[in-house]
Amino acid sequence: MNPDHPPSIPTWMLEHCTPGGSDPSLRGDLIEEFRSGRSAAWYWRQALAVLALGCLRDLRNHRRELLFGAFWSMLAPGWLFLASEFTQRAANAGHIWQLAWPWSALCSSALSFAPGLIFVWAGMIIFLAPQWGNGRRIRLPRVGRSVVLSALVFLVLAASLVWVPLLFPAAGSPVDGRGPALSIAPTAPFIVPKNVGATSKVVVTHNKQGEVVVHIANRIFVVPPDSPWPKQPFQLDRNAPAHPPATPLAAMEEPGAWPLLTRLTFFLCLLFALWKSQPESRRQRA
Amino acid sequence: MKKKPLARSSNHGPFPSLQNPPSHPPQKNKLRNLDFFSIVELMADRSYLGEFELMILLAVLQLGEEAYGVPIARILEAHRGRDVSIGSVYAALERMASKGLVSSSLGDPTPERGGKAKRYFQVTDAGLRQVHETRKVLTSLWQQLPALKRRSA
Repeated sequence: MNPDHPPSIPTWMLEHCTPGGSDPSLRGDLIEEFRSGRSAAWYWRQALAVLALGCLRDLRNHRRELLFGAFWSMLAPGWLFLASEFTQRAANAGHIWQLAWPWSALCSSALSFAPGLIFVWAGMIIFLAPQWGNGRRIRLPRVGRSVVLSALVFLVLAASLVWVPLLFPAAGSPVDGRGPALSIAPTAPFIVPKNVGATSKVVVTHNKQGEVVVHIANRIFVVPPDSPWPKQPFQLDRNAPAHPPATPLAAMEEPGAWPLLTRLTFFLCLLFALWKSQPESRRQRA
Repeated sequence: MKKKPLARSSNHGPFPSLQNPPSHPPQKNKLRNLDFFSIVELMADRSYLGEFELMILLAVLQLGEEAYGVPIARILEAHRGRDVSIGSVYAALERMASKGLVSSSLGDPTPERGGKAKRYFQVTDAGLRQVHETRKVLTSLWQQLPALKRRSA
Protein backbone atom coordinates (compact mmCIF):
# COMPACT_ATOMS: atom_id res chain seq x y z
CA MET A 1 0.00 0.00 0.00
CA ASN A 2 1.43 3.33 -1.08
CA PRO A 3 1.16 5.73 1.87
CA ASP A 4 0.70 8.64 -0.55
CA HIS A 5 -2.25 7.14 -2.36
CA PRO A 6 -5.41 6.26 -0.49
CA PRO A 7 -7.22 3.03 -1.46
CA SER A 8 -8.77 3.48 -4.87
CA ILE A 9 -12.09 1.68 -4.32
CA PRO A 10 -13.36 3.86 -1.44
CA THR A 11 -12.06 6.95 -3.27
CA TRP A 12 -14.05 5.96 -6.34
CA MET A 13 -17.11 5.22 -4.20
CA LEU A 14 -16.84 8.64 -2.57
CA GLU A 15 -16.68 10.36 -5.94
CA HIS A 16 -19.41 8.43 -7.71
CA CYS A 17 -21.71 6.79 -5.19
CA THR A 18 -22.36 9.48 -2.58
CA PRO A 19 -26.08 10.36 -2.75
CA GLY A 20 -26.46 13.98 -3.78
CA GLY A 21 -22.81 14.22 -4.85
CA SER A 22 -19.73 14.30 -2.67
CA ASP A 23 -18.03 17.38 -1.25
CA PRO A 24 -14.48 17.82 -2.64
CA SER A 25 -13.41 19.48 0.63
CA LEU A 26 -14.47 16.42 2.58
CA ARG A 27 -12.55 14.17 0.20
CA GLY A 28 -9.54 16.46 0.58
CA ASP A 29 -9.79 16.17 4.38
CA LEU A 30 -9.78 12.38 4.14
CA ILE A 31 -6.75 12.40 1.80
CA GLU A 32 -4.88 14.81 4.08
CA GLU A 33 -5.53 12.61 7.11
CA PHE A 34 -4.53 9.47 5.22
CA ARG A 35 -1.24 11.04 4.12
CA SER A 36 -0.54 12.11 7.67
CA GLY A 37 -0.34 8.45 8.72
CA ARG A 38 -3.85 7.03 9.01
CA SER A 39 -4.36 3.41 7.95
CA ALA A 40 -6.23 2.09 4.92
CA ALA A 41 -8.81 0.58 7.28
CA TRP A 42 -9.41 4.03 8.76
CA TYR A 43 -9.91 5.43 5.24
CA TRP A 44 -12.36 2.67 4.37
CA ARG A 45 -14.35 3.29 7.59
CA GLN A 46 -14.52 7.01 6.92
CA ALA A 47 -15.60 6.53 3.30
CA LEU A 48 -18.34 4.07 4.27
CA ALA A 49 -19.51 6.46 6.99
CA VAL A 50 -19.74 9.29 4.43
CA LEU A 51 -21.81 7.07 2.12
CA ALA A 52 -24.11 5.97 4.94
CA LEU A 53 -24.60 9.55 6.12
CA GLY A 54 -25.32 10.61 2.53
CA CYS A 55 -28.01 7.93 2.26
CA LEU A 56 -29.53 9.01 5.59
CA ARG A 57 -29.53 12.65 4.50
CA ASP A 58 -31.21 11.68 1.23
CA LEU A 59 -33.87 9.70 3.09
CA ARG A 60 -34.42 12.56 5.54
CA ASN A 61 -34.85 15.00 2.67
CA HIS A 62 -37.46 12.70 1.13
CA ARG A 63 -39.31 11.72 4.29
CA ARG A 64 -42.62 13.04 2.94
CA GLU A 65 -42.31 10.82 -0.13
CA LEU A 66 -41.42 7.82 2.04
CA LEU A 67 -44.40 8.36 4.35
CA PHE A 68 -46.83 8.92 1.51
CA GLY A 69 -45.45 5.94 -0.44
CA ALA A 70 -45.86 3.67 2.59
CA PHE A 71 -49.43 4.89 3.16
CA TRP A 72 -50.50 4.69 -0.48
CA SER A 73 -48.99 1.26 -1.08
CA MET A 74 -50.94 -0.07 1.91
CA LEU A 75 -54.12 0.64 -0.07
CA ALA A 76 -52.89 -1.24 -3.16
CA PRO A 77 -54.44 -4.68 -2.39
CA GLY A 78 -57.85 -3.04 -1.89
CA TRP A 79 -57.61 -1.22 -5.19
CA LEU A 80 -56.47 -4.34 -7.02
CA PHE A 81 -59.42 -6.23 -5.49
CA LEU A 82 -61.82 -3.60 -6.87
CA ALA A 83 -60.13 -3.63 -10.27
CA SER A 84 -60.24 -7.41 -10.39
CA GLU A 85 -63.97 -7.43 -9.51
CA PHE A 86 -64.64 -4.86 -12.21
CA THR A 87 -62.68 -6.79 -14.85
CA GLN A 88 -64.33 -10.05 -13.87
CA ARG A 89 -67.81 -8.59 -14.14
CA ALA A 90 -67.00 -6.98 -17.47
CA ALA A 91 -65.65 -10.31 -18.74
CA ASN A 92 -68.74 -12.17 -17.58
CA ALA A 93 -71.00 -9.61 -19.21
CA GLY A 94 -69.11 -10.04 -22.47
CA HIS A 95 -67.78 -6.50 -22.45
CA ILE A 96 -64.17 -7.56 -22.74
CA TRP A 97 -62.93 -7.93 -26.29
CA GLN A 98 -62.66 -11.45 -27.53
CA LEU A 99 -59.78 -11.31 -29.96
CA ALA A 100 -57.58 -13.93 -31.52
CA TRP A 101 -54.12 -14.62 -30.22
CA PRO A 102 -51.78 -12.66 -29.87
CA TRP A 103 -54.18 -9.71 -29.46
CA SER A 104 -56.03 -11.51 -26.70
CA ALA A 105 -52.79 -11.89 -24.77
CA LEU A 106 -51.96 -8.21 -25.31
CA CYS A 107 -55.41 -7.13 -24.12
CA SER A 108 -55.14 -9.45 -21.16
CA SER A 109 -51.71 -8.02 -20.23
CA ALA A 110 -52.93 -4.46 -20.65
CA LEU A 111 -55.90 -5.17 -18.40
CA SER A 112 -53.54 -6.66 -15.83
CA PHE A 113 -51.12 -3.74 -15.80
CA ALA A 114 -53.50 -0.81 -16.30
CA PRO A 115 -55.06 -0.80 -12.80
CA GLY A 116 -51.61 -0.81 -11.21
CA LEU A 117 -50.36 2.04 -13.35
CA ILE A 118 -53.53 4.04 -12.70
CA PHE A 119 -53.00 3.50 -8.98
CA VAL A 120 -49.37 4.70 -9.10
CA TRP A 121 -50.21 7.79 -11.15
CA ALA A 122 -53.23 8.57 -8.97
CA GLY A 123 -50.86 8.48 -6.00
CA MET A 124 -48.56 10.94 -7.78
CA ILE A 125 -51.44 13.32 -8.48
CA ILE A 126 -52.75 13.11 -4.92
CA PHE A 127 -49.26 13.79 -3.57
CA LEU A 128 -48.46 16.68 -5.90
CA ALA A 129 -51.86 18.34 -6.40
CA PRO A 130 -52.21 19.99 -2.96
CA GLN A 131 -48.84 21.62 -3.46
CA TRP A 132 -49.78 23.34 -6.71
CA GLY A 133 -50.47 27.01 -6.19
CA ASN A 134 -49.39 26.71 -2.59
CA GLY A 135 -46.00 28.35 -2.81
CA ARG A 136 -44.31 25.29 -4.26
CA ARG A 137 -43.01 25.08 -7.77
CA ILE A 138 -43.60 21.80 -9.58
CA ARG A 139 -41.38 21.28 -12.60
CA LEU A 140 -43.52 19.66 -15.26
CA PRO A 141 -40.67 18.12 -17.34
CA ARG A 142 -39.42 16.49 -14.16
CA VAL A 143 -42.92 15.20 -13.38
CA GLY A 144 -43.20 13.88 -16.94
CA ARG A 145 -39.94 11.99 -16.58
CA SER A 146 -41.18 10.57 -13.28
CA VAL A 147 -44.42 9.38 -14.90
CA VAL A 148 -42.50 7.52 -17.60
CA LEU A 149 -39.93 6.16 -15.15
CA SER A 150 -42.61 4.91 -12.75
CA ALA A 151 -44.39 3.15 -15.63
CA LEU A 152 -41.16 1.43 -16.67
CA VAL A 153 -40.35 0.39 -13.11
CA PHE A 154 -43.89 -0.88 -12.59
CA LEU A 155 -43.88 -2.90 -15.80
CA VAL A 156 -40.51 -4.47 -14.99
CA LEU A 157 -41.51 -5.33 -11.41
CA ALA A 158 -44.98 -6.54 -12.36
CA ALA A 159 -43.63 -8.61 -15.26
CA SER A 160 -41.09 -10.20 -12.95
CA LEU A 161 -43.83 -10.93 -10.41
CA VAL A 162 -45.95 -12.63 -13.08
CA TRP A 163 -43.19 -15.19 -13.53
CA VAL A 164 -42.79 -15.89 -9.82
CA PRO A 165 -45.71 -18.40 -9.81
CA LEU A 166 -43.85 -20.51 -12.36
CA LEU A 167 -41.55 -21.45 -9.52
CA PHE A 168 -44.51 -22.89 -7.62
CA PRO A 169 -46.50 -24.90 -10.16
CA ALA A 170 -49.75 -26.53 -9.13
CA ALA A 171 -51.97 -28.70 -11.31
CA GLY A 172 -55.63 -28.37 -12.08
CA SER A 173 -56.22 -24.77 -11.09
CA PRO A 174 -58.91 -22.92 -12.99
CA VAL A 175 -58.05 -20.26 -15.51
CA ASP A 176 -59.89 -17.45 -17.15
CA GLY A 177 -60.36 -18.84 -20.61
CA ARG A 178 -61.04 -15.48 -22.23
CA GLY A 179 -57.34 -15.17 -22.76
CA PRO A 180 -55.05 -17.91 -24.07
CA ALA A 181 -55.62 -20.53 -21.41
CA LEU A 182 -52.25 -22.17 -21.59
CA SER A 183 -50.30 -18.94 -21.27
CA ILE A 184 -52.30 -17.73 -18.28
CA ALA A 185 -52.47 -21.10 -16.60
CA PRO A 186 -49.11 -20.83 -14.80
CA THR A 187 -50.24 -17.71 -12.97
CA ALA A 188 -53.51 -19.24 -11.86
CA PRO A 189 -52.19 -21.18 -8.86
CA PHE A 190 -51.18 -17.91 -7.30
CA ILE A 191 -54.26 -15.98 -8.29
CA VAL A 192 -56.76 -18.62 -7.33
CA PRO A 193 -55.87 -19.16 -3.64
CA LYS A 194 -56.58 -15.48 -2.98
CA ASN A 195 -60.13 -15.77 -4.31
CA VAL A 196 -61.18 -19.37 -3.90
CA GLY A 197 -61.49 -21.08 -0.56
CA ALA A 198 -60.76 -24.73 0.03
CA THR A 199 -64.40 -25.30 0.91
CA SER A 200 -65.82 -23.50 -2.12
CA LYS A 201 -68.49 -25.22 -4.10
CA VAL A 202 -67.52 -25.86 -7.71
CA VAL A 203 -70.12 -26.12 -10.49
CA VAL A 204 -69.12 -26.88 -14.07
CA THR A 205 -71.58 -26.07 -16.87
CA HIS A 206 -71.47 -25.36 -20.61
CA ASN A 207 -72.67 -22.20 -22.33
CA LYS A 208 -74.19 -21.78 -25.79
CA GLN A 209 -70.82 -21.18 -27.42
CA GLY A 210 -69.64 -24.58 -26.23
CA GLU A 211 -67.31 -23.10 -23.64
CA VAL A 212 -66.92 -24.65 -20.23
CA VAL A 213 -68.09 -22.38 -17.44
CA VAL A 214 -66.73 -23.07 -13.98
CA HIS A 215 -68.45 -21.43 -11.01
CA ILE A 216 -66.27 -21.23 -7.92
CA ALA A 217 -67.72 -19.34 -4.99
CA ASN A 218 -68.85 -16.02 -6.49
CA ARG A 219 -66.44 -16.21 -9.43
CA ILE A 220 -66.98 -17.57 -12.89
CA PHE A 221 -64.18 -18.93 -15.06
CA VAL A 222 -64.86 -19.47 -18.74
CA VAL A 223 -62.61 -21.94 -20.55
CA PRO A 224 -62.62 -22.46 -24.32
CA PRO A 225 -63.38 -25.97 -25.55
CA ASP A 226 -59.92 -26.43 -27.04
CA SER A 227 -58.24 -25.84 -23.68
CA PRO A 228 -56.87 -29.05 -22.19
CA TRP A 229 -57.84 -28.07 -18.67
CA PRO A 230 -61.56 -29.03 -18.41
CA LYS A 231 -60.74 -32.60 -19.33
CA GLN A 232 -58.74 -32.94 -16.15
CA PRO A 233 -60.38 -33.57 -12.76
CA PHE A 234 -60.88 -30.24 -11.04
CA GLN A 235 -58.62 -29.66 -8.06
CA LEU A 236 -58.66 -26.95 -5.48
CA ASP A 237 -55.70 -25.70 -3.57
CA ARG A 238 -56.09 -27.22 -0.10
CA ASN A 239 -53.73 -24.62 1.36
CA ALA A 240 -55.94 -21.76 0.26
CA PRO A 241 -57.46 -19.64 3.02
CA ALA A 242 -60.94 -20.79 4.06
CA HIS A 243 -62.28 -17.23 4.06
CA PRO A 244 -60.86 -15.27 1.15
CA PRO A 245 -61.21 -11.47 1.23
CA ALA A 246 -64.65 -10.42 0.06
CA THR A 247 -64.30 -6.65 0.37
CA PRO A 248 -61.57 -4.12 -0.49
CA LEU A 249 -61.03 -3.51 3.21
CA ALA A 250 -60.49 -7.24 3.84
CA ALA A 251 -58.06 -7.33 0.91
CA MET A 252 -56.12 -4.42 2.42
CA GLU A 253 -55.89 -6.20 5.78
CA GLU A 254 -54.84 -9.49 4.22
CA PRO A 255 -51.49 -10.72 5.58
CA GLY A 256 -49.09 -13.01 3.75
CA ALA A 257 -46.19 -12.86 1.38
CA TRP A 258 -48.14 -12.08 -1.78
CA PRO A 259 -49.98 -8.96 -0.50
CA LEU A 260 -46.71 -7.79 1.04
CA LEU A 261 -44.93 -8.27 -2.27
CA THR A 262 -47.71 -6.32 -3.97
CA ARG A 263 -47.39 -3.46 -1.49
CA LEU A 264 -43.61 -3.45 -1.85
CA THR A 265 -43.92 -3.23 -5.65
CA PHE A 266 -46.19 -0.20 -5.42
CA PHE A 267 -44.02 1.38 -2.72
CA LEU A 268 -40.93 1.14 -4.93
CA CYS A 269 -42.80 2.49 -7.97
CA LEU A 270 -44.11 5.45 -5.99
CA LEU A 271 -40.65 6.22 -4.65
CA PHE A 272 -39.25 6.19 -8.19
CA ALA A 273 -42.12 8.42 -9.29
CA LEU A 274 -41.94 10.92 -6.45
CA TRP A 275 -38.20 11.03 -5.71
CA LYS A 276 -37.31 13.39 -8.52
CA SER A 277 -40.63 15.19 -8.83
CA GLN A 278 -40.27 16.66 -5.37
CA PRO A 279 -41.54 20.25 -5.48
CA GLU A 280 -39.28 23.02 -4.33
CA SER A 281 -40.30 24.78 -1.16
CA ARG A 282 -39.97 28.50 -0.54
CA ARG A 283 -36.92 27.87 1.59
CA GLN A 284 -35.19 25.77 -1.07
CA ARG A 285 -35.82 28.48 -3.64
CA ALA A 286 -34.65 31.28 -1.35
CA MET B 1 -4.07 31.70 4.07
CA LYS B 2 -6.17 33.18 1.32
CA LYS B 3 -9.84 32.38 1.58
CA LYS B 4 -12.43 32.79 -1.11
CA PRO B 5 -15.93 33.65 0.00
CA LEU B 6 -18.27 31.50 -2.00
CA ALA B 7 -20.58 32.95 -4.57
CA ARG B 8 -24.00 31.47 -5.22
CA SER B 9 -23.58 28.63 -7.70
CA SER B 10 -24.75 25.10 -8.22
CA ASN B 11 -21.32 23.45 -7.94
CA HIS B 12 -21.05 23.25 -4.19
CA GLY B 13 -21.28 19.53 -3.61
CA PRO B 14 -23.97 18.15 -1.34
CA PHE B 15 -23.88 21.03 1.12
CA PRO B 16 -25.44 24.00 -0.66
CA SER B 17 -26.76 25.38 2.60
CA LEU B 18 -23.23 25.84 3.93
CA GLN B 19 -22.65 28.73 1.60
CA ASN B 20 -25.90 30.59 1.96
CA PRO B 21 -27.13 30.44 5.52
CA PRO B 22 -30.50 32.12 6.07
CA SER B 23 -30.03 35.57 7.53
CA HIS B 24 -33.03 35.29 9.84
CA PRO B 25 -34.55 32.26 11.55
CA PRO B 26 -38.15 31.48 10.56
CA GLN B 27 -40.70 33.45 12.56
CA LYS B 28 -43.76 32.00 14.18
CA ASN B 29 -46.24 34.44 12.66
CA LYS B 30 -45.11 33.40 9.21
CA LEU B 31 -46.53 29.94 9.81
CA ARG B 32 -49.99 31.23 8.92
CA ASN B 33 -48.90 31.84 5.34
CA LEU B 34 -47.24 28.46 4.87
CA ASP B 35 -48.77 25.34 3.41
CA PHE B 36 -48.94 22.05 5.26
CA PHE B 37 -45.75 20.60 3.80
CA SER B 38 -43.71 23.69 4.64
CA ILE B 39 -44.95 23.54 8.23
CA VAL B 40 -43.94 19.87 8.43
CA GLU B 41 -40.48 20.82 7.18
CA LEU B 42 -40.18 23.56 9.78
CA MET B 43 -41.34 21.21 12.53
CA ALA B 44 -38.69 18.69 11.57
CA ASP B 45 -35.89 21.23 12.00
CA ARG B 46 -34.66 21.09 15.57
CA SER B 47 -34.24 24.49 17.08
CA TYR B 48 -31.91 23.39 19.89
CA LEU B 49 -28.28 22.28 19.81
CA GLY B 50 -27.46 18.62 20.12
CA GLU B 51 -24.47 17.39 22.10
CA PHE B 52 -22.36 16.75 19.00
CA GLU B 53 -23.34 20.05 17.42
CA LEU B 54 -22.40 21.95 20.55
CA MET B 55 -19.01 20.21 20.65
CA ILE B 56 -18.39 21.11 17.01
CA LEU B 57 -19.32 24.74 17.55
CA LEU B 58 -16.93 24.91 20.51
CA ALA B 59 -14.16 23.31 18.43
CA VAL B 60 -14.74 25.80 15.60
CA LEU B 61 -14.60 28.67 18.09
CA GLN B 62 -11.40 27.25 19.60
CA LEU B 63 -9.70 26.88 16.19
CA GLY B 64 -10.67 30.33 14.99
CA GLU B 65 -9.30 31.02 11.51
CA GLU B 66 -8.00 27.46 11.05
CA ALA B 67 -11.30 25.63 11.54
CA TYR B 68 -11.74 23.05 8.80
CA GLY B 69 -12.70 19.37 8.82
CA VAL B 70 -9.42 17.75 9.89
CA PRO B 71 -8.53 19.88 12.98
CA ILE B 72 -12.18 19.92 14.09
CA ALA B 73 -12.25 16.11 13.99
CA ARG B 74 -8.87 15.91 15.77
CA ILE B 75 -10.06 18.14 18.62
CA LEU B 76 -13.21 16.08 19.03
CA GLU B 77 -11.18 12.86 19.01
CA ALA B 78 -8.78 14.22 21.62
CA HIS B 79 -11.57 15.26 23.98
CA ARG B 80 -13.94 12.37 23.42
CA GLY B 81 -11.20 9.74 23.34
CA ARG B 82 -12.59 7.90 20.33
CA ASP B 83 -12.56 7.99 16.55
CA VAL B 84 -14.72 10.65 14.90
CA SER B 85 -16.13 10.36 11.40
CA ILE B 86 -15.27 13.41 9.32
CA GLY B 87 -18.47 12.77 7.37
CA SER B 88 -20.54 13.16 10.53
CA VAL B 89 -18.70 16.42 11.29
CA TYR B 90 -19.65 17.73 7.84
CA ALA B 91 -23.23 16.48 8.24
CA ALA B 92 -23.59 18.32 11.55
CA LEU B 93 -22.04 21.46 10.07
CA GLU B 94 -24.50 21.24 7.18
CA ARG B 95 -27.42 21.08 9.61
CA MET B 96 -26.09 24.06 11.54
CA ALA B 97 -25.43 26.01 8.35
CA SER B 98 -29.07 25.52 7.34
CA LYS B 99 -30.05 27.04 10.69
CA GLY B 100 -27.64 29.94 10.15
CA LEU B 101 -25.34 28.97 13.02
CA VAL B 102 -22.18 28.57 10.91
CA SER B 103 -20.92 29.83 7.57
CA SER B 104 -18.07 28.60 5.40
CA SER B 105 -15.54 29.72 2.81
CA LEU B 106 -13.14 27.85 0.54
CA GLY B 107 -9.36 28.07 0.77
CA ASP B 108 -6.86 27.35 -1.99
CA PRO B 109 -6.43 23.80 -3.35
CA THR B 110 -3.21 22.15 -2.15
CA PRO B 111 -1.32 19.15 -3.61
CA GLU B 112 -1.11 17.32 -0.25
CA ARG B 113 -4.90 17.20 -0.27
CA GLY B 114 -5.07 15.79 -3.79
CA GLY B 115 -5.78 19.23 -5.23
CA LYS B 116 -8.88 19.72 -3.07
CA ALA B 117 -9.52 23.00 -1.30
CA LYS B 118 -10.08 23.28 2.43
CA ARG B 119 -13.48 24.47 3.62
CA TYR B 120 -13.10 26.85 6.55
CA PHE B 121 -15.97 27.26 8.97
CA GLN B 122 -16.93 30.27 11.07
CA VAL B 123 -19.50 30.53 13.84
CA THR B 124 -22.06 33.23 13.07
CA ASP B 125 -23.54 35.64 15.61
CA ALA B 126 -26.63 33.47 15.82
CA GLY B 127 -24.40 30.45 16.47
CA LEU B 128 -22.55 32.27 19.21
CA ARG B 129 -25.84 33.26 20.86
CA GLN B 130 -26.98 29.65 20.67
CA VAL B 131 -23.77 28.43 22.33
CA HIS B 132 -24.17 30.90 25.21
CA GLU B 133 -27.81 30.04 25.62
CA THR B 134 -27.09 26.31 25.69
CA ARG B 135 -24.29 26.81 28.22
CA LYS B 136 -26.63 28.87 30.40
CA VAL B 137 -29.31 26.20 30.32
CA LEU B 138 -26.84 23.37 30.98
CA THR B 139 -25.16 25.24 33.84
CA SER B 140 -28.46 26.01 35.47
CA LEU B 141 -29.56 22.39 35.12
CA TRP B 142 -26.27 21.11 36.60
CA GLN B 143 -26.58 23.49 39.54
CA GLN B 144 -29.93 21.99 40.43
CA LEU B 145 -28.46 18.53 41.00
CA PRO B 146 -27.23 18.60 44.60
CA ALA B 147 -27.44 14.84 45.07
CA LEU B 148 -25.28 14.19 42.01
CA LYS B 149 -22.76 16.83 43.13
CA ARG B 150 -22.39 15.13 46.52
CA ARG B 151 -22.04 11.71 44.93
CA SER B 152 -19.31 12.85 42.52
CA ALA B 153 -17.52 14.72 45.33
